[in-house]
Amino acid sequence: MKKIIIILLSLVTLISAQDLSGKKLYINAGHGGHDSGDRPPINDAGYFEAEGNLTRALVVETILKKWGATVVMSRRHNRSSDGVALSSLGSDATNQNCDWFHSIHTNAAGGNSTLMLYSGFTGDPRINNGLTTSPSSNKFPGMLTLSDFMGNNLVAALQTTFYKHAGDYTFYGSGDNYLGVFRYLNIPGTLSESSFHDYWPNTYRLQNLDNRINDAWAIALAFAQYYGEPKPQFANLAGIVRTKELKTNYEYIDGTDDEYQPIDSIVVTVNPGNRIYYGNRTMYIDSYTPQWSQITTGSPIDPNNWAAVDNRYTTLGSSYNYDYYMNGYNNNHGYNRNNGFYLFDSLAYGTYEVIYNAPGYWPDTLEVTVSSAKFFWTQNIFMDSSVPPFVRSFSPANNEPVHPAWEPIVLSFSHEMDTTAVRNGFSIAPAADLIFNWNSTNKVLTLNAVGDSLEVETSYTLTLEADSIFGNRHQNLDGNGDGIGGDDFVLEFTTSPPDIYPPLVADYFPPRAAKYDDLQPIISYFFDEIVDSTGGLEDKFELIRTSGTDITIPTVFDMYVINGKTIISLFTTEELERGKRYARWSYSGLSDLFNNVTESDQVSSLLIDSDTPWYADTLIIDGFGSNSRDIWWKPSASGSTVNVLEADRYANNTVVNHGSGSAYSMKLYYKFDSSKSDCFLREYMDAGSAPAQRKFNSNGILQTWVFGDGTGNLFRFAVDDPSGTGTSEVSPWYPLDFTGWKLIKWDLRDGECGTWPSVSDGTLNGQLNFDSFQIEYVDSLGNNEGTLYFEDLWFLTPGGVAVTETDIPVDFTMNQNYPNPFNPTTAISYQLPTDNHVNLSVFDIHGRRVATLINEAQSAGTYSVNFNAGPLPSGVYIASLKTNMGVLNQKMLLVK
Amino acid sequence: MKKIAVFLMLFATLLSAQVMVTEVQVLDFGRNTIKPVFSDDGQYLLFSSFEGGNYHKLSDNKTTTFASAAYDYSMDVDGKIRYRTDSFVDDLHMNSVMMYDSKINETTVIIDKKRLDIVPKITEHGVYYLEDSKIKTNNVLAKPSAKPVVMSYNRSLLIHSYGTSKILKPLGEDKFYIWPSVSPDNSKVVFVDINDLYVIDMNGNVIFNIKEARAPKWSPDGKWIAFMRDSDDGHAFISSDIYVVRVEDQKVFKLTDTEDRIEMNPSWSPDGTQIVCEDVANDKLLILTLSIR
Repeated sequence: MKKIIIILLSLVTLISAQDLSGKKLYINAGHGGHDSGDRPPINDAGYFEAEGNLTRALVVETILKKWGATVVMSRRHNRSSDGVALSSLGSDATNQNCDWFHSIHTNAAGGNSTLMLYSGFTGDPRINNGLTTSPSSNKFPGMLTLSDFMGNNLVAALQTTFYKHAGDYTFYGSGDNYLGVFRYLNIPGTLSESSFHDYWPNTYRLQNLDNRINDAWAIALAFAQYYGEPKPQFANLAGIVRTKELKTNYEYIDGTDDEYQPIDSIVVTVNPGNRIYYGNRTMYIDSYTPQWSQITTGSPIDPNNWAAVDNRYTTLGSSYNYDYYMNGYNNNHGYNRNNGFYLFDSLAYGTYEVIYNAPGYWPDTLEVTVSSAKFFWTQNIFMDSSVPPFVRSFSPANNEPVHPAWEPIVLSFSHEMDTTAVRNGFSIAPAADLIFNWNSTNKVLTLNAVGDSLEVETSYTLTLEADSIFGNRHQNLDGNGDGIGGDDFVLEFTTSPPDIYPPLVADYFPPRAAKYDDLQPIISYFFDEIVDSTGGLEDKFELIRTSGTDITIPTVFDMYVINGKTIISLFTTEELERGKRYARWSYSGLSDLFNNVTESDQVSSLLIDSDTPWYADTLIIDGFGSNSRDIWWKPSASGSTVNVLEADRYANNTVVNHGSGSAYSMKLYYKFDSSKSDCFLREYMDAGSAPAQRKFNSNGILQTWVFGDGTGNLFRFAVDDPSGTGTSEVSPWYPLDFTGWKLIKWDLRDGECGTWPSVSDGTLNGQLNFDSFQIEYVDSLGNNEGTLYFEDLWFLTPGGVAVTETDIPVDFTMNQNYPNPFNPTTAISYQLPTDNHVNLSVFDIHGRRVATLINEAQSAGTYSVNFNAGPLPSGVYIASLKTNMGVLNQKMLLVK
Repeated sequence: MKKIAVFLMLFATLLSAQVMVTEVQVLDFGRNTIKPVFSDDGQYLLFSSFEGGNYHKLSDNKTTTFASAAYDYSMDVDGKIRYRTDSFVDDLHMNSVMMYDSKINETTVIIDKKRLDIVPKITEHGVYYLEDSKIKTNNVLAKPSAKPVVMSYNRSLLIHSYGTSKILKPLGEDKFYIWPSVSPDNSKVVFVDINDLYVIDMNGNVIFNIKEARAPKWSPDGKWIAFMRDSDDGHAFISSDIYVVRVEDQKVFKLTDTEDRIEMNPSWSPDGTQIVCEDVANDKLLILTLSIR
């Protein structure tokens, strides 16, 4: 703990200098009545807006009355009967003949933001029925002035990142009054959306009663500022206590401290004054008395008796039950609500020693000065855990029998570690040369074997010695995770047999032997393991037009490693020809990480469908530049997104469509709450953005390139369809059961639509514009986390079908299977010059049929069929291709 | 003014043959057109819009803006419009009442920028207001009358009658007591507590109430009360329809049943055969022609 010099201050008398006497202000706690018609709990996290708004309003009332104002409240309770119709609200506020109407809410416009709304156009506030003293019939610029005071106060008080104001005519796109409270209001009116309660960290902070009190100060202070009253001669100090030892398990904005877990059970003390804030306590408000007469009572803190601290309650005002915690809602605001918020309001100017305590963390002390420079002071802090470090997770598992020898060992620690100490206390037997790789927080250690592999089929014992290993505060390792440091961590595992097979192209995109109807495809080779890229792979892959004279097609090479397998992609930079055949070559000499090298070339045929339409028009809806975060909302900003723990979109400059010369794609990371079955993500294109204004209709194809994550979750498009009875329509679902690039098309001409309950009507009616990408979790598969990339969201208007003669093979031929020898899968390819009934079977060396791969009529063309030998024993097998043109045989060697 | 359309809507089967809407006339006066009322002779509509206070002659579709700001307006048979308007002096809200003579295009001040506890009440027999804790009446336009008047005052009902005043809270504390008005026969008062409509006698005894009924208006003969049943999501109005209740037996009739319109703030024509209201969804005014049997 840092010892600081305490500057003793003489106590000041905090007498209010603000004088709002003669002002009559109407305060509306937005929404109202905690019943089935009330706003639902946000994100299922326990926050009710009607209750939260009332809390703020009651505190605002108290402060404004203390400053002499007459305050009229729309409600002072939150019972079912306290829901007030907006029309009644307007009538009451008018009857009361007030000077101002203010409505308190908590859902701003995305991110961690604050929003102020007023009647009129943005920047041009209006009162509907006018004012005789206004320069123009109904302008009232004062609403903008007060909005600025209040918005900036709220940003400072609540640590939101920005404030914006808007007139409801503009904000909702209605061109006239959208907000019902303003429609019949004859006096100036404003509405504060203090923060965005759909943002998880805010949802939790909003449940802290002191957060609401600071919010109320921001609102009340704005009135004093607006009416030209002097600044209060005191200030509020607030902050958020977090730990960097743990990241939150809910959504946060990248690059902000919200990434880290708040600490709830805090005890914060300021001296001089010995004011103590208990984060874990129950509070009630019926009439808030500002803190200057509310010094917390209780015995001094005993850091060794946290239970006693936890059970000590601080009560502001009486414990009068004003119904806001009805329906089982627990108003124990501080406890386990993931906010870590604390507040000392009405502090005299001066320098304070602020002492932070929390069970399980090292105490800390900061020196904080509050002055007249501003009213809302912020002091956040990260606390270090006092729990001994332990290994939170590790791979391989203990006693794992077949850990791939070439896979790394990964140890994830609970704390930031002293890396030198870990190295000193580390041992492995039998001895192995390992490379230590720490992540940026020194919490995750990845151990790679020198030479890429441990010994195969060997039992290892890895030990971390507790006496040598400690965290950044020198607690010895807790090897067995029982909460007490001083015991070793021991991990035993056995490595797998060696890999003796060279890499194999397991699949292609476009698929083998398929006609393909996009003229500028991204050709992908999907290998069954990692291909060693040392020395480059670019010259190992080639796309050749084989119809007529062989011509090498210009492509851009790129490769990816996804889930331990290599994907090679060739991006065509010019259109291929309809009806022509192309060969996708991968040449010999490809090696895996264990020096198993391919000895022969592999090839797969690709036929561009002669019926591929030509497009009369291409509407580029979004090419995905560097500004994706401006155009596309964070998924949580859409109310349709549910049960998503974490999701965000980014402009990405590594996984891009080289074929179209793109510099950026849009990356979408998501993590669904796997405990829920109805997880849904809407990646919404901002309706105000230019791409979302681009109109099209149902006479074409909506398509985008998607770099899949192989999760099997579902993807679809949504478009706005304002002409119909539904507001939007959606495409059928497309499974994300692929990795690498794939073009996903929704042919709107077919009229095939999916269902978006309460939104779509199932038919495409008129002029459309893009709405969103949507992803649904398939809980039966359990892959709740994934990353997708999007490129080239286009709408294509077909102009017709170019009549092109398809290239037909000249000969009836059958190629050598590849690979050969094989285990257990190989590909058999052949060419049919005419339509035929085809029987492709596999026989063993004794003439016994072991598999029938094809037995059907096929049109002329080139085909490739995979044969999986499965449980068959090693040996020679015959692939026999039988048609009315004859029989062709190939020998194949299965080596197991 | 643009005349949009005339629709015939027959709801005979819906309305049990007691009250039916035989015609709906749609009028478009632009942005934020609110609070329409008929003139006392039924020849004009008065309403507030983005431009201010307006009167509209139904016979020739001519609209005139008479004030840059106006509410609670009425027009007598002589073409004189009395209305409230507001102003701010030193950030304080001031009330004024004006009289505009449409025949000579002249405006007279009745109450000039007073700081009042409650808004003045304009009636056909004078303007009532509360000042220095006393009810005052200005008789510029009308002769003194003993007819009672009711005002919403500080979350209670203030009834002034025969020169005396009394404050009633027939439903107790914590009620708004809004939209109060005295029946044409001076025997009853209708008001809305917060969300529900109540009819009481002049002593405050409840005669009947209707749930979720707001903006009530007595019919000229006092036999009916028109009201709206609006709903909202806490931000915007999402639906509303117009109803009438027969005072005699409290039988309620639904006059509008539309999903694409939000009908609000009904007001009767002087002969009781029409109701004018807002269509909030489309920013229009509607004139409903009634058949009451």
